[in-house]
Parts: sequence; structure tokens; C-alpha cells
Amino acid sequence: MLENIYPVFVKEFRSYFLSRMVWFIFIVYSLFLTCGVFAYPDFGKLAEPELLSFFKTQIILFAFIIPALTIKIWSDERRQGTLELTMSLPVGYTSLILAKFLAIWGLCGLMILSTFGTWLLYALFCGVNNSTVLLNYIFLWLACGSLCAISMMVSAYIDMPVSAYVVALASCLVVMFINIADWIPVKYSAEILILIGESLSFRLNFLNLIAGRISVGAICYFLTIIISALWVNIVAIGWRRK
Amino acid sequence: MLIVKKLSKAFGDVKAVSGINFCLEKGVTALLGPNGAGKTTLLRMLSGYYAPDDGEVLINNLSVTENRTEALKSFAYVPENGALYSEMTVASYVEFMAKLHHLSYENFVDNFVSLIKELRLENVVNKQCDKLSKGFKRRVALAGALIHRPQILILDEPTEGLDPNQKFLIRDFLHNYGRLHTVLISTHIMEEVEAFADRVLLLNHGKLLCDTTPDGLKSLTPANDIETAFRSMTFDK
Repeated sequence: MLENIYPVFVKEFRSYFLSRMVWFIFIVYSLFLTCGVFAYPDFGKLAEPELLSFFKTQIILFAFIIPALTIKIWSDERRQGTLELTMSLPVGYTSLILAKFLAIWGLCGLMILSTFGTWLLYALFCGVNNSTVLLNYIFLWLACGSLCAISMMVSAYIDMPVSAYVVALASCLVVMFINIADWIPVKYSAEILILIGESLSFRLNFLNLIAGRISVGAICYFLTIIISALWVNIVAIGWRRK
Repeated sequence: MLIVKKLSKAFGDVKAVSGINFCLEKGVTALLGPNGAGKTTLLRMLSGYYAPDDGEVLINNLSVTENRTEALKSFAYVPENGALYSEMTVASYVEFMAKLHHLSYENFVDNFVSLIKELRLENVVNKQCDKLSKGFKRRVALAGALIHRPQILILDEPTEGLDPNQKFLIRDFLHNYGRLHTVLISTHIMEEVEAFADRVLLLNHGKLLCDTTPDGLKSLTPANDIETAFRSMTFDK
């Protein structure tokens, strides 16, 4: 069922490094986070033990970056005319989608790794809680995975690369900032409803994780987004064939 | 062996392909038809890119609808646009196709060397695909499709837009390949049919009008000419 994931993953992963746009995004992102923070007037204040502001900034940056990277996955293939070739390869749709997802998620992982220098400098000059920061890096990568899956799903449904970017960006921002608990009318605001609403909030789950309030529920939340969005992606491919 | 059973596909109210049946064995078959006859839609269903509304495609007794990945292992398809992954080099593209078919390194090298020679790609092996001319792109697409020596090869208008030398090269290659394998090419160029097809499937308005040999098609009109036969059968008054 998952045959040929590896060659497709390698092809997709390599293709990112052959794109000037991806290099541009990568370099701007790394420079912004490694040098930019030191240009901040009150650098010392940013250096909390868990580097919370650093991670909060990164996830917002990724909400803008990931849609730009994921348009390459389906919309660009359609534009270049390679989709017909890709879809006639002996690769199952599940394998194809997983391979493409792992490639973009891997790229996000590398981008996150490129900011390790900032962590090192903070650790040297300000002192940070290293184990918490390491966990926060992993949680940031997990949250990026869910944004990748959402953007990929949008790219599968929309033909035009620019439209795909705009809709994927809007989807990522809505998922990131919407909190259903805020929408529950006061007269119905039972504690259980608010708890359910908050447990479905991307922002609150992410903030809880990076603030050290680690819960299985929050991790499952991000994994559920990834799995659901990839499943919708598989449905989109089947729907397009018809 | 490629078997097509009652294959149909519609886009909205337009029936692109309607109840087509045929069976292909070794040799070169030309899928002939005017523009909009349903050739590309039919080929896209054979390759699994489109799901048929009705009917089925069997490649070596494996259904493309139910068992797509297995069925496509002995099959290769070169789409009409001959698009390649622009960021890859010719060598890495062909190597990628070989990996998808789990070719051993020795087999890959043997096939790669012979294909590069046969398709005259020696000078572009390390070039990036998007830097190639149309003729080279077509040949690279063909090399990628043939790296695992598929039993069934399907090409959508393989010589469209090529110069006479490149047309000759591709026709000659396909003619030789068709001696031992099943080759189906879609075309609306009559000289191509006469040049190397063993069999002709004539399609119009999504229906199979005739399944014959080039000589059989010629004999359908007193002029004994394929083009006249084609026009008389597909001309819309």
C-alpha cells in the first residue's frame, strides 16, 4: 500500500533545494530569526527561559511561508503539466500524498534546525532551559506539520497557484487564531463547552505545549489535523480523477 | 495484453468516450481520430489518470481501477505535453523512473546506456529538463517511460511539433519496440499510420468507428488512400 514512498520523497525533497524561491524563503527566514532578534531593541526581554516569544513568532512566520511552499505540491504540478505524468506512475495515491507531505514537513524541520544558532546564543548569553527549548522545537515542528497538511489539502483543490496560496494562507490563519470557545454565547457557556472549544484551538494547544503544559490531548490535536487533512487530500485526488 | 471493456467517460453532458471495446497484443496500434474525438480522454483512462464512468481497463488481467499500482508496473504512458519534472536533470529523471520500477542497478545502467544511445541523448544527459528543446523533451520522456522496458507503451501524439529528423528517429524507434511489445500511439497524422502502424483504431465523437489494418482502412474508399478514408469517416457535414 505504501510502496514507492521513498523515491518520491527523495525527488520531492531534492526539488525544494533546486528552486530559487525556496532558497530565498529559507535564507530570509533563517536570517530573520538568527540576526533579526538581536536587532530587537530590548533583546534581553526576549530571552525567557523557554524562548516563548521566539517560538510564537516562528509559528506565525510559518503560517505565511508554508502556503508558499505547498503550492508547488499540486497547483504547480498542474501549471507545469506534470500532474498527468505523476498520476500515471506506479505509486498509490496514499504513498504519493505521504511522500509529498513528508518532504515539505522535512523541509520545515530543516528550516527550524537552521535557527539552532539563536538558541545557542541565548543559551550562552542569557541562560535558557535547554530541555524545554528542545521540546519546544519538536512541538513547533509538529504544529508546522498540521499547517503543511492543511495547505497541501487546499493546493489539491485549487488549480491556480496564486489562488491556492491566498486560500491556504487564509485557512492557516483561521485555524491558528480561531477559538470556538469565544463564539459560544454567554447563556450557553457551560464549563464543558468552553473546555471543548479551547481543546479545539490551535493557538491555545500550541501555547500550552511550548509553555510546558504538555498534554496528550494537545499532541493528539495536531496529529488529528495532520491525518484528517491528508485524508481529505486523498479524497481530493480521487475526486479530481472523476 | 491490454483489454478495454465498454469504456465510457462523460464530462457533464458531453460524452467524451462511449462504450469502447478492444484488445491489444504485440505490435504498433495507431489510435486515429480528429481533434476532440476522445483520444486523449481514452488514453488518460488507460493510464489511470481519469476514472472511467463505466467499463474497465485490464493490463495483463489486472484492473486499472481496482489494482492501479500493480497494473501500471508493466505499463508506461507518455502524455501529450511530454512534460518533465523541470528541476531534474535528464539522468536523475530517468533514474527516478527506474527506482519506481525497482530496477536493479545493473539493469538500470544497461537500459540507460542503450536508451541514451538509441534516442541520441548523449549530449544532454546532465542537462536540466527545462533547458531542453521540445524534441529532446519528448525523447527524454520516452527514455523515462522505457527504462523498465514495459510490455505496454502508450504515447499521446508523440511526434507533434517535431522536425522531420526527430519524427523519423521516434517512429523508427517505436517501430522496432513494437516488434516485441504492445505500443499504442494516438495521432491524427496519416503518414505516421502508414509509416509504422500494424493496426488502426479510428475514433470519432468518443465512439470506435473501426478497428482494422492501415490497408483495411485504405480499402474503405475507391481512392485507396488513408487520408480519404479518414475524411469520409470523420468529416462532420
